[in-house]
Amino acid sequence: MGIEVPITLGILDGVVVAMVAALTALGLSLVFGIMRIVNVSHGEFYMLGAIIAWFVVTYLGSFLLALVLAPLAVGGLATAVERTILKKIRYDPESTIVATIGLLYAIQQVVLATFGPYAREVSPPFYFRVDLGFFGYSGYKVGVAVISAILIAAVYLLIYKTRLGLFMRATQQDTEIAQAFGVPVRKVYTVSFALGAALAAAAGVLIVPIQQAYYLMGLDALLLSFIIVIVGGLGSIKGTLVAALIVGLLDGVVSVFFSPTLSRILSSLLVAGVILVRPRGLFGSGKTM
Amino acid sequence: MREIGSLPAIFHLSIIAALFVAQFILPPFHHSMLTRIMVLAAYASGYNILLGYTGLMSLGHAMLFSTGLYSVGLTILYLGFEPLAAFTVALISSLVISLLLGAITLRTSGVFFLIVTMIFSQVFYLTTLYFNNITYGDQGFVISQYLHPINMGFFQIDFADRTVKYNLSLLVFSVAFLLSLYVSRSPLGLVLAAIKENPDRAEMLGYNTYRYKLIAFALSGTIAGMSGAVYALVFSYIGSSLAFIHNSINPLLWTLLGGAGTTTGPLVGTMLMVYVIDVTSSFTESYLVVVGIALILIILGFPKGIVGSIRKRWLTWLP
Amino acid sequence: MASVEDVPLLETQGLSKRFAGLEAVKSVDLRLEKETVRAIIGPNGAGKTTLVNLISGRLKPTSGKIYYRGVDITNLPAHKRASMGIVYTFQIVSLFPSLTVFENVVLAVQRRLGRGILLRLDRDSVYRQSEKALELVGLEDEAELEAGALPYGHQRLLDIAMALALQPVLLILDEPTQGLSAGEIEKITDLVKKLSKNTTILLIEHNISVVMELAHKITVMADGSILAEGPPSEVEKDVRVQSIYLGV
Repeated sequence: MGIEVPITLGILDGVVVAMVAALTALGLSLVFGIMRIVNVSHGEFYMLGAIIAWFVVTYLGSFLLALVLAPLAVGGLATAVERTILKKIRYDPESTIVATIGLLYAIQQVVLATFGPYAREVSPPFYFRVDLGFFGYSGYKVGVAVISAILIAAVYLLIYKTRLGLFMRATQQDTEIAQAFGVPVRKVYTVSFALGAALAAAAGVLIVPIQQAYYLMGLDALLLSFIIVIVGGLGSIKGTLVAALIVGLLDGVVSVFFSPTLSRILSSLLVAGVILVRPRGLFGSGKTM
Repeated sequence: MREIGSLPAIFHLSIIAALFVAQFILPPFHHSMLTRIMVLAAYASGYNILLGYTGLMSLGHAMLFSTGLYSVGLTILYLGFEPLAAFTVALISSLVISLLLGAITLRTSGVFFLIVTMIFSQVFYLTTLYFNNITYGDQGFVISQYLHPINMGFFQIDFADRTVKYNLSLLVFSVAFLLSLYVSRSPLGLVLAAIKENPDRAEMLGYNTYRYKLIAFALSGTIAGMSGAVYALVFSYIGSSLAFIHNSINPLLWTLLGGAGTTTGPLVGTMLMVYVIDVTSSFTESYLVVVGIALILIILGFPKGIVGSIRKRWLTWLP
Repeated sequence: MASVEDVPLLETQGLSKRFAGLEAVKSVDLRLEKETVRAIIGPNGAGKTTLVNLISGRLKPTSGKIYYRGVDITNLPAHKRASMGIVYTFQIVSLFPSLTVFENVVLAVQRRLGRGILLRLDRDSVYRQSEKALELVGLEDEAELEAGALPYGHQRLLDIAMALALQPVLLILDEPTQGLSAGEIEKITDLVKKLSKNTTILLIEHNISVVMELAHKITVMADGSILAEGPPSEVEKDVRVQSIYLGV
């Protein structure tokens, strides 16, 4: 046997990473598309998801419950942030960035004070190995990819098939016109911000049996999301998925031969390439960038 | 009109004079605090040229600061450069790196500019970790044993001497401080202010706004690199943590707190924050929570910063 | 062989602009003669503003060419065109609101007088010329106010003062009298008349009496195309133009 096994493993891991990253990035992209703001504490919502999962699994013993509770709790926190801070600064893009940087530090330090500086493990809710002929692959990882895909599909359906989704798309197109047509823009903002945060938290829950919960894990997720939305183009679900797969596979395969650090350097350099060739991202429609 | 004017000129020179005199009066603790504050305030002043004057919010300045830092550190450690030669290398490399980084990132605008500068800065940080056999990564390295005194004929500049450290810091601060005063009153500064307010209109007046933003970026980045270089010479420590995102957020916080777009704001903001963190870190480990809350409070209730508010209320002549 | 005199100041050939699904400007051929006032009129959505945005370089055409003094400028960025003398004033007043009135004009003057990218210049002549530009529109007493604090009509005058301070060869005015009082309209009309002696003016205007008073030639646009063109007296009689304006 040569290098086929590690490469296949790398590709599979890459797809799993890609699906979770797509889920996280989708939340960021959604919030930007609708509210025109960048939430720098998005990675901390992801981290909170992982931390809450650890608490729920450890004290209540149910992973499924964690997958429900963490997004709800983080969504609730996001709602509070949106109602108090973001509303007060009138969603000004730069003020939002400063405020959410502040929030990033605050959340991180609160978690450090309560959860401690340790990386804690959560065991996967189910064990089985998928037999791929010459080697086995973690059934949980396959499960993560599948659940992420289901959640992404659910978001897609929400946006394109429901009344709320229609409101969201209308707000994304033109806030003022949407308001004139009776779209409750304020509510759409609150819901979108909470939904974006909840998606990040769900991704955090899903990743925790693979990567452990750690109070500094948010920044990496944030940067990965940034890379994905820049490469894929903001506001495009398809772009987010494709970019996440490119970045994830690059990460998976390069990590087999070199270090994960190098793969992150390479995927960041991909950003430089995209900006030079297509400043709006691969699938970006937008006037925005 | 947009001339420096005698009142502001005297005001700025007296601040430098006061900082110079302070070294003879201050007790050792505050002496060393001020040494640190002045280097960091130089960094913040450079940041302010981009944020306050041109309206561009970067989260990538840690990369530019560290370009200066590592240029000095690595040339002294591996090539045996003299401090002055190492400093020159730092200036040139930070100019080149800021021009390159600016040329790419300024193709985007608004929040994208911020995201992209952050990503590139993170690449730089990861690179310093990846080549840790050269850079010693997070642990870093110290160059004090290679910093030989410079012989100036009748006296020596010894980098271990605290008076030398203080005055080096004062020097780099004064350069950044006076440069930002000069720029704010120059035709160039007026164009930058115009780009900040209404880039479309500036373009239609015939200004190549991309090129002016690049000039502001390069100026800001070179000052950041110069501060990093002096930081290496004064504190002798070179490590990855200074290239991390926290060190990009720091000048943003200091500038906003003191007042973006004012010449004295970065000094005031840096001084206040360095002292606040020093006080709080004596009874809590997580001083970063102070940074976080400060950022939220400033943006909620105090967007003009300290000097910005003073200027609006009382001292309208303040640059 | 055409002599230099025959080359129009500005010429567009088959100029088109398509936005997602909508063709705002359809194959427009426009020729502007030197030192004349040309008015473009037409209903809302006729493509007038899009056309002048293409000429000033704020928008890139989907197809077609633009020549200025016989030189192809189709691919030049807006700031290059501005420094060649094509000066555009926005339909909606566009200033630097937190800078003073004087600084707004200085920005225009120093762009022309400043040497090199760092704009080395002689402050005295910049100030003199800035004052002159303000006097021309009667804003000299408000020089030290913040531009954003001016009443609307005065903001419009400042906008025009900035354009004049650039010493344009081709001045594009997009609805300069919109929202102004009768007195202010008269001031602008007089100004344009004075200017037209040595400047070519392209004027988008809804106020027909202003158009009739100023224009040497009128271009009528509808649905992105040129419908009619000629001296005011002829255009006035044109049945198709009447049908657009009067709905008959």
